[in-house]
Amino acid sequence: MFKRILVANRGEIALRVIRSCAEMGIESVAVYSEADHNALHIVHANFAECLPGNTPAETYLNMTRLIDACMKYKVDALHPGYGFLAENADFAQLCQDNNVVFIGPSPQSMRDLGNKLKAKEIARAAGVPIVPGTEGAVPDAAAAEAFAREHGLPLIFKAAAGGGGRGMRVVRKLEDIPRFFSACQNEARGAFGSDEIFIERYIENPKHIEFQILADHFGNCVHLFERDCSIQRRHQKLIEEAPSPALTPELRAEMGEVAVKLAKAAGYSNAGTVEFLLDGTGKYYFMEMNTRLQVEHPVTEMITYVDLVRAQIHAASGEALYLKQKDLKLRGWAIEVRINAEDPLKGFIPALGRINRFIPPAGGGVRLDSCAYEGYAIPPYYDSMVGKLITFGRDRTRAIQKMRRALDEFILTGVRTTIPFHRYVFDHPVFVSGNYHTGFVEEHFSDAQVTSMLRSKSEHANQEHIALAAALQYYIERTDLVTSNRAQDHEASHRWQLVHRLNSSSFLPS
Amino acid sequence: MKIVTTINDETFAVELRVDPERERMFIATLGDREVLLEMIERKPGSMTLAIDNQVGFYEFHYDKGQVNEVMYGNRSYKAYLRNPQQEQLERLLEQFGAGVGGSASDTLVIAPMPGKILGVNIKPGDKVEFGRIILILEAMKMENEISSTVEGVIKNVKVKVGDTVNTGDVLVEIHPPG
Repeated sequence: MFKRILVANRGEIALRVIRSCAEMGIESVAVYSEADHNALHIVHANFAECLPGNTPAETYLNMTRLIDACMKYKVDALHPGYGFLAENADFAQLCQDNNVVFIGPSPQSMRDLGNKLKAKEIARAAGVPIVPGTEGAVPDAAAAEAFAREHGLPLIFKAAAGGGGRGMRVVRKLEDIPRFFSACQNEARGAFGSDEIFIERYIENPKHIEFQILADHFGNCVHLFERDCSIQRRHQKLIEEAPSPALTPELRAEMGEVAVKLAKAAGYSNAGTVEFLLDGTGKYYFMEMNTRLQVEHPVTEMITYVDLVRAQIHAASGEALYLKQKDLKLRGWAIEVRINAEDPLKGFIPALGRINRFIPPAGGGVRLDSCAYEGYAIPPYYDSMVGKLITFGRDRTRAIQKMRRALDEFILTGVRTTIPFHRYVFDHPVFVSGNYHTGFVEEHFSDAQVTSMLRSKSEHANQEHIALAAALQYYIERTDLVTSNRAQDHEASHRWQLVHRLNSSSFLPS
Repeated sequence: MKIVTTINDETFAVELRVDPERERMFIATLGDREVLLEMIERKPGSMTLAIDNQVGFYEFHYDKGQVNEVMYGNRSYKAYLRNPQQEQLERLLEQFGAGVGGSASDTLVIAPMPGKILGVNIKPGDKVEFGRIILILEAMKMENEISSTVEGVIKNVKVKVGDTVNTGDVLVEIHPPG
């Protein structure tokens, strides 16, 4: 087993990995940028190395610096977390070349599965259902129309070299094809320097279902059931749950088997996630495979009692998988919400700043994976996620009840977060029914719906209290209230500051 | 004091007074109801308050010296406060050309009680924000922190450490920003 692991990441995931290391008796080395000098993961690691600079390129993406740190601290292995270099095959190779075990799959399977067309090829060869579409690029609008007549509408045009939704066009009418085709081509050429277009059938309002898999170096592979990640905003997941309310036991078993089949076909080892789209009729299609630990891995941990980071470390150290598929049982229900420093009432714009008050929820069935604390200033260089709140219970209803309670308990001031959005979702009948899909935010979180939420009855009661508090603040600031100011009572809670204003001139708005 | 408070889109007319019987208690009139407010803790820009025995933590954010946002629990609320009597006074002053209107007027920090200056934390030209402790005044063997009630630039410091001051003495002049 490893003696020392370097964690090449920051924030809650660095802390998450460091925690498992501590439990296993493995020493951890944290790295941090200058902006992260006050980060919590440094506190809990055994060693910490500063990566000079602030931008990701200078720090958490800086392969040379990271390898240098590995050498300096003589680590046996490196855990990449998620994001940053977690899916960079060249970095995994570089670790290997320097005799540092990269805790993840081999560079080759990262390369194979990281390429969209190659991944589809592996899936097709393994008999895994994929979204019907053209195998290669489509030469012109006429060919696109021929495909549409053969396979039906709606379709989606995608840039072969693309990503992040650039160039994509959803085609619902045949007459739109020439116009959309050239628009997609133009955008693709501008953004990616290639105007190669391919076509897929467009899955209307799908569910995003992904299967967690674990594999060792000996060809053993199991799945740890699914996660439903259909509450998204612009392809960014906001809420995840396990299991999915949409899957029957039969479908779960079938999709799990398919996920394992794909991982085996790709010669995969370590933890990975096979993502599927599930349409309204129960048909599913392979989308892609993520060759890393996912942000939302805790929900799987809660329902399987498997520590995924620990399992990753065991697999990377060359041990055979101790888990057998028949021993894995679903226990209860877990839901995770992402606490991002974003203002959900203003289109989710980033809301950075300092956390003034931080009293997180606790109690039965609550787990918080977070890097935040009272007084923590969120640095502007990285992701806006400050934590993940997970609740779990015997069934979905209990997990939801616990989440409502935990969100209500959560006191976090100074920065605006996604907590009010989550509170809204957990009261929404569509979410509560379980019958929701990836269009939820667009359909149910419009400006008008946000406004009506702000005008709700419970909100009125809140606003009354807030009005009273604000009025009191105004009153005290504008009156000569001098109260007990005992010098020896400096930190005492009842000490008030002295406030004084001379005359009306200072009342005037400037 | 009557204070018209708008939170998000809803307006509340609040009348506030100190409870003469009990320390740290205030009585608010809201519509036809009387509500008891107990100040549990107060810091610059925030307070812990029990409203009808329900304890909450309220944080205030300012724009140009005015509360414009309140954070409560994990939510943020737009706020706008005004005092009609005050506005009337301002209008009168403007009419009679009293010359106090507009942003040019300085805020005077005055001694709230007689005492001795123990500490001066600022000098002319310093930028101060709302709530910054600018002076320490010893009175009745107690140290009292005097904080800025506005955001601005220190224009004039009229006292130094060791000075004895009387109630109403001007201690510091603060020039509004901009």
